[in-house]
Amino acid sequence: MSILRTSIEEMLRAEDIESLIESGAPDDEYDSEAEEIARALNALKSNRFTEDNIVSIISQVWTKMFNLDEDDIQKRMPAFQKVAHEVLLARNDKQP
Amino acid sequence: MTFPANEQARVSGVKKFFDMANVPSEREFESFLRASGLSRKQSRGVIACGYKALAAAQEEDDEDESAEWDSLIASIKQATEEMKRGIARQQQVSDEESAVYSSLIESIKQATEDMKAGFDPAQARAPAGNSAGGQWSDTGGGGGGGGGSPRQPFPTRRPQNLDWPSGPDEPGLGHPLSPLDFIGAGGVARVLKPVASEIVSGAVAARNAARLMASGIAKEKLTDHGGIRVGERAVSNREVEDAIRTAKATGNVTTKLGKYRTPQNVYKGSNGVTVHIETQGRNVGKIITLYRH
Repeated sequence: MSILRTSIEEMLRAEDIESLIESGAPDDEYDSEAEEIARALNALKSNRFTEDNIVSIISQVWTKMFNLDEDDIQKRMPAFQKVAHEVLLARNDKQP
Repeated sequence: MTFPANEQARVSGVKKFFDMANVPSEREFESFLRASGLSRKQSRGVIACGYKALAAAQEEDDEDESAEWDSLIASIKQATEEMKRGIARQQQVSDEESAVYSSLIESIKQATEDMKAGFDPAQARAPAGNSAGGQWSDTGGGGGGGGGSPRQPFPTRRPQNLDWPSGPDEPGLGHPLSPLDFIGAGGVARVLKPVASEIVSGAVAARNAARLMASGIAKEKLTDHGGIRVGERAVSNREVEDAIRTAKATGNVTTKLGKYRTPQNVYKGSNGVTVHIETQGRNVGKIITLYRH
């Protein structure tokens, strides 16, 4: 889990979805979101570890953490999909 | 005794019993002996073997009684052993729970003490090996690093003046906070789950929730993200107010739109604290994030 969480932290930092780091916030700005996402992903069964499900988890975490509505989420969907795709790749790389 | 249970047990009755010419039957004699205080076994022994049988019957009675006592003692011993095993199992569970609770309580106590002392978790410590090793240095409130802003004590009570030094789109503070507002049921469950990593995670959440509560900033003024940042970065309500006021006074307020064009004011205070407050949309007036610059 810690490896996945660290990867997600890096991805969220790079994506900076809310532009907070760009505005001066520290690099660990999205670490709590990364923790929640990693926790949810680790609870997923292997056969449910799909890009769609990862996007869904990120959306839910973002909705709660930033108090967003459906319109806000739709705007951010490309960023969520990008992160989800990277998570999937990172996870597959770690598979034996 | 005025009214004996057995009329034949009276002294006069006994005399009468033996004065009678007829020898009493075994049943009558047994009845007489029972009425005189002998047990059934003793009575039958006397009838069968005379007075000598009394001692033997007494021994038998004693043995029976002794066997009953032995059985009772064995039962008590067995019950005691089972109780001991049950207590040991309960103690094991209790110790595990106790460790979890202790960890949580220690975290909350530590956070409370930190805040009373004006602790800034991002402030640098003197390195180990130095004569002041482990002590708080005078420089370096964290986040952006450097700065050397003086430490601000955390309020031990909620401030009475609930006004933000800002515009009408940034409403005042609301109800007092509870740690549970921020830990949530899931967080509490995590805290109580006896797995080391979960205990640490729960303890950190509890510590941050305690810091957030002590900060005096109302939940209504924060997104969840902002609330976590307040807890992690240990910024007090007074520091937020000072940051906004001094940023306004010095013209250090900028408006950022971000990638999704959600406007927010960024107040870069002279006290070393920067606060982001959304100015439109569903989070208007709420702190999105804050940090020490």
